[in-house]
Order: sequence, then C-alpha cells, then structure tokens
Amino acid sequence: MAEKRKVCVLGATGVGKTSLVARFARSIFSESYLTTIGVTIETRRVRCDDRELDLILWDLSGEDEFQDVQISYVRGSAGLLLVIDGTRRFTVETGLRLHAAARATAGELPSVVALNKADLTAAWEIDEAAEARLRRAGLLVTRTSAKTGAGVEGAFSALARAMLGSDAPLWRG
Amino acid sequence: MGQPRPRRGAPSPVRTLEDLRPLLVGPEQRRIRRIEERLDQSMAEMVAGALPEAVIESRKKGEALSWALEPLITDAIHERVRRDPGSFADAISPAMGPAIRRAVACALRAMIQRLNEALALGLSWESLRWRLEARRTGRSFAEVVLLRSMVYRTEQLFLVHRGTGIALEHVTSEDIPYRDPDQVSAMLTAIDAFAHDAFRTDARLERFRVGDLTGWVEHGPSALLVAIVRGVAPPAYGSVLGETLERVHLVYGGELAGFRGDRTPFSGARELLSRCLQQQRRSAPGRGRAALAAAAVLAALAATALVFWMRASWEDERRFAGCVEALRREPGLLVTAAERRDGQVVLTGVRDPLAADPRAVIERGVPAPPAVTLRFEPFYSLHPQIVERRAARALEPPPGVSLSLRDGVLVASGVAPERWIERARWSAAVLPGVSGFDGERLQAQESIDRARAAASSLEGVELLFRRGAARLSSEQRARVDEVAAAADRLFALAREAGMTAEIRVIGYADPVGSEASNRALSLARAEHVAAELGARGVPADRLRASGAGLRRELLSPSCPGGAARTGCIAGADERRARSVIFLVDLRAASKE
Repeated sequence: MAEKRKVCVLGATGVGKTSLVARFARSIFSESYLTTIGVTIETRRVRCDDRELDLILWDLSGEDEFQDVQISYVRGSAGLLLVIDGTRRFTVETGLRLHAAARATAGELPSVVALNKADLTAAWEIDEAAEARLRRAGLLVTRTSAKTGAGVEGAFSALARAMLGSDAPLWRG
Repeated sequence: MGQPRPRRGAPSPVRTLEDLRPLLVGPEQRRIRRIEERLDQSMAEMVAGALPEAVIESRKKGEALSWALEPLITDAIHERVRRDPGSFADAISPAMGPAIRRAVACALRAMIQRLNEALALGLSWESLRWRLEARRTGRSFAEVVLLRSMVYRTEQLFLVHRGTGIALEHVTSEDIPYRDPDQVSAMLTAIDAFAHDAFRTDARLERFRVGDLTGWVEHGPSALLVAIVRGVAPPAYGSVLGETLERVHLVYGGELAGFRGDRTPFSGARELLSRCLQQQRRSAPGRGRAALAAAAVLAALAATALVFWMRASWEDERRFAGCVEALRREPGLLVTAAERRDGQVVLTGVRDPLAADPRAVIERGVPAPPAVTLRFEPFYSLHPQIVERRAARALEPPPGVSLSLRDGVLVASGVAPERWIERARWSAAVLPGVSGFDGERLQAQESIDRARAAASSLEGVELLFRRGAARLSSEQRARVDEVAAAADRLFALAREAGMTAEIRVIGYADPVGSEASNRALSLARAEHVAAELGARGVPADRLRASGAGLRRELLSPSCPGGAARTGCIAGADERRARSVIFLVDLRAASKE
C-alpha cells in the first residue's frame, strides 16, 4: 500500500503554480476553487527508491496585494513546494515570506523551491545571490518550466525524497 | 542474631524458623501490618487523594481512560435519570435549547424531503396502500406517508486523518461511481478549515447537502468520519457514525497519533466502517409469499382492467371513427378536424345550411354515440344533392316538375307554367354550384293546354253521309278542308308542347242493313275521309281509319237489337248515325 503525503504548493500570484501542478498531476476539481475557497487539490503517485508515494497536492491560491494565502491549509503538510517566477525578482521575497508563515503554522518541513519559467532565459532576473539566499533558508532549489515541462518531475521527485528521508513530525497544529 | 541454642534435645526446625522470623523481618512485618491497617481504615481517603492526579496523567497519555469510563458513566446517568428525572433535566436544560433547535431544524428538513417524495408518489399503488393503512389505523395519511417513505442509503464513507486530510480508508456501496477519494477527502478538510477560519473558530463542518445527497461529518480527536448519504437518514444514524468513530479511536488511537502517511495499520478499519454502510428501503422485507400473491392478484386485476380498458378504448375509438365517417358521408357536411381535447371528442368542420343536422346524422348513423362537441361553421357546399336542394329552395318548382343536377347543369323536367320556366332559366344560372339550366324536358303548361284545345276542337267535328253512301256529299267535302286545317294546327301545337298527335278517323253507319254491311260501310266512310285528308296534306301516318259500325251512343238503352233498331234513332241523331268523327291521341313525345 502506497504511503501518502500532503504537499502544499505556495507562491506569489502568477508564478505558475497551477500550471506547474497541472504538468505533474491531475485534479477532479476546477481551478475556480482557487478563487472561491483558495485551494484546489491534485493527486499524483511517484516512485522513489523502490517506494511508492501518493502526493496529495494542495495548490493554494497565490498571494498578492488583493488576497492572502489561507495559511491554515498548510497544517498537516509533509512538505512544501515554493514556486518562484524566475523572471520576477520580487516573487523571491513573497516565496520566502510564505515559507516562514508555513513553518510557523506547520513546523519545519522539507521544502523545495521551483524557479519557474526557466524557458524565459532572456528575461531571467534571479541571480546567484538570490539563489544563495534561498539555500541559506534551508530550501532545495530547482529550475522548472511549466511550459516545456523541463525540471517539473525532478522538483517533485526531490521533494518526495526529502519527505521520505525526513523524520520531522508529519503534522502539527 | 540471637544466642547459640544448647545442643541437648534436638530442636524442631519449624520452631527455629518461627523464632527467627521476628528477628529477620520484624520491622517489615510491622510496616505491612500498619499498611494493612491503613488500607482497612482509610482506603477511600487514599484513592481520593491519588485519583485526580491519576486521571490527569492518563489524559496526557491518550483517550484510553475516557473510553474505559464511558460505559460506566452512561449506565450511571441512565440510573440517575430513572431515579430522579427532574434534577437531571435541571442540570442539562442550558444545553437543551440549542440541541432542540438543531433537532427541530433537522426534522423539518427531513419532513419536507419526505413530503416531496410523498407528493411525487401521487396515486401510486403504494399511496393507495398507505391510505388504507391510514384509515385502518386511524392515523392521518401524511403521518403514514412520513412513516413509510423514509429511505436512505450510505453511498460512501471516508475515514479521514484530521491533521493531514488524508483518506485513511474509503468504503462505498456496490455500484456507486466515485472519484479520487484522496482529493475528495482533502477538499472536505479544506472546506472544513475554510469554514472554521472564515466564520467561527468553534464551528466544524457537520452536514452539507448536495441535491439529495447529505454529507454527515463526525469529528473525533484524531480522525473524521464522513458519510455521503442519499436521501434522508434518521437522526439515529449520527449515533452510529459517532460510535464507529469512537471505536476507531479506541482501536487505532496510537496509530492515529503517530500517522506519518502509511495507511497499512488501518486496514482493519474497513470492517468497522462497513457497519455504517446502511440503507433503508420502502418495502418491508420478509413478506415474500404474501407479496408475491398480492403482486399476482394485482397483475391479474391490472391485466383484466387493461383488457377492459383496451376494449372500452377500442369501442370508444370505433364509435368515434363511426361518428366521423357518418358525418363525412353526409352531403353538405365537411369534418376538418377530429380530436380529443380534455377527454372530450371535439369535431370541427363546416356545414351547408341545407345539410342535415350533424347531431341527427350521428344519432342516426352510430349506435350509442359518444358524447361529442360539434363546432361547425356555415359554408356553401357544391355537393350535387345540396345544389339540388338549393335549387329547389330557390326556384320553388310547381308540382310535376323535378330538378336534378347533371355535371353542374340543372336539369328540370315536367310541366310548368311558362312564367316559372322563364324565371327558372334566369335564376338557376346564379345559384352556387349550378353552371347551366337545361329545360329541354320541361313543357310549358300553356302550350299543352293549346294543343289540347286544338285536339278538342277537331274532336267536335262530325262529317255526315247520306244513307248508304260511302263518300261525302260536295257540301260535306267542303268541311274536309276545315278538318285538314284543324289537323295542321293540332300537329303544330302538339309539336310546340313536346307532344305527338295521332288522329283516329272513325266511321259509323245507321242501323239499317246488316251489321256486317254496316261495319264495312263505316270503314269505307272512314277511309274515304282519311284519303280526302291525305289529299289535303295531312300526313297519312298520323291518321288511323277504322269502322265502328253502329254509333252506339246514339241508341237509347231500351232499343231492341237487329233491324228493329232502325226506329230507335230519330231526328238529328238519325243523320249523325251516318258519320265520321275524329278522336285525337295526344301524348308526350319521347325525346330519347
């Protein structure tokens, strides 16, 4: 029987969270839930070192000046995927702020950063210094492109491996 | 240690042990005795001191104490309520208000749902049965319906880990299609959290309704039990869910607290959950044979009723078709629509004012006619019979004149006054349905009268002969011209009146002489006159000469026979006895 893990996908509005998750998983719910109750759910089974893991992805609506993330949804998560738009530097700040809020609610969790829109190299704004800040915050940094699919599987696999290797209590709150 | 014992007289080892025991464990024995005394005297006091701390410690470790104590407390409450209901009611009254309000709301919702179902049942066999039951038991029909129509079925059950929203177990009824249980349970958890954050921090999602599905959410410390129920389950169903969730916590308390994503330890929960897969059907089970018999009787009744209904329906249909057919056959009536409207037969059409009354037509043509509504508008029919009626109505032909329509032409035959014929000739042409007037077979009364007058004038002529003579005297011959002219006029008038005239020339002889000679003489006289007329242009085929012998109408009835009759005719009649007269046979000419 495959084990299951709740994973929250967080990030600023427009960084491509939903596109990234849609590349990876399937949902029986429409995206309209994002704007109504602030979350939609997807599932995907991944294989990791001969173990099967069912990821239950909580795709939380993005944070911007008009809406806040419903951070209580993070409770019970086994891991976090922070999505940052590689072409917009300020989304790094938003990602870090959301990560801190999630840790405050759910405790220390294995977390992976997806620097999304990797296909738009000409407009790339994230420099080495910014990536270093993310790593210093204990995050595993990957590059993804929801458009081409590049790096998407890798990002979720990395998170799955980190969760299986983590001894942190699964849920708090 | 005591002093050494003397060796004389070997001492018993038991005594030795008895002697040694106070020395060896004396203080312990005293302590045990003190403890026993304290236990006997102040056990309750000691437990009372330790119990609160013990309960607190147990609570820290989990819910085991609660589960263990629950049956005792339940029994105690039952006993207390039995003995003194008043004080218990006082104690719980503050909590009762909200609970009652919630129960009433729930019951009302259920009642409305069941009433809807009852209305939907309408006049079914079920409702008939319930009406009988209501009459038999003296209850109201609504009450019986509410009692009998309660139906529900659990379609899905989710055992959800409270913290993660992960579905630990998912159980469904057979043949229920379902979607990804993990996504559904996660979304339910999200909605619960959303409601919790958005509205009231002390509120939890307990029920949600989607069409005729109701979600029952039972909250436990570490898990949720969500039942998706079609229809309206009784409030007691909530207790079943609650007890099941308690049992799950009792059995899997440790596993729930340490859940890390591995569902293997919960594989046995499926059996626990399956008792919540409940359903209640309308028809009570266990009436097999009686129900079968009732069903058979019902089917037989239904079949009989169906046969009767079909027969009645067929009869009805036949009568209905008969009505329509009778009306369609009737000249001057036109059925444009035949339909059933609100259970009634409505026949719509048009009717010539001269056509028969449609209702009379139906009554005449259909035995036991059905009730029909007739809606007929007036119109002019061109049916020959109606056109003939119309012509008769308009022309008012005199007796002896008949009218008929042939290919649109009104044919009149018979005898009528000239004025009528003239008027008919003009009037007929403007009648709807009449394209012309044929008066060829029509004779003017006046022309016939004229021909008859000419005939009777001819018949008034007598040509007289001298005794024994077969030829006319010169004086009488002059009258033959007059006769010939009258005959010409007669033929002309007869032709005008559409008739033919034949002139019978009849000769007579007086009684003098033998009968045979007289007959020969009379014939000779007639033939002579006919020849004279022929000589004057009267067509021979219109003349028929015959000898009649004696002119008997001149003889008196008392006259004897034979030669004796000579004296019977005297004076003018004596001369008239030797004569030729004319009889005219005037008859209608055959036109065919």
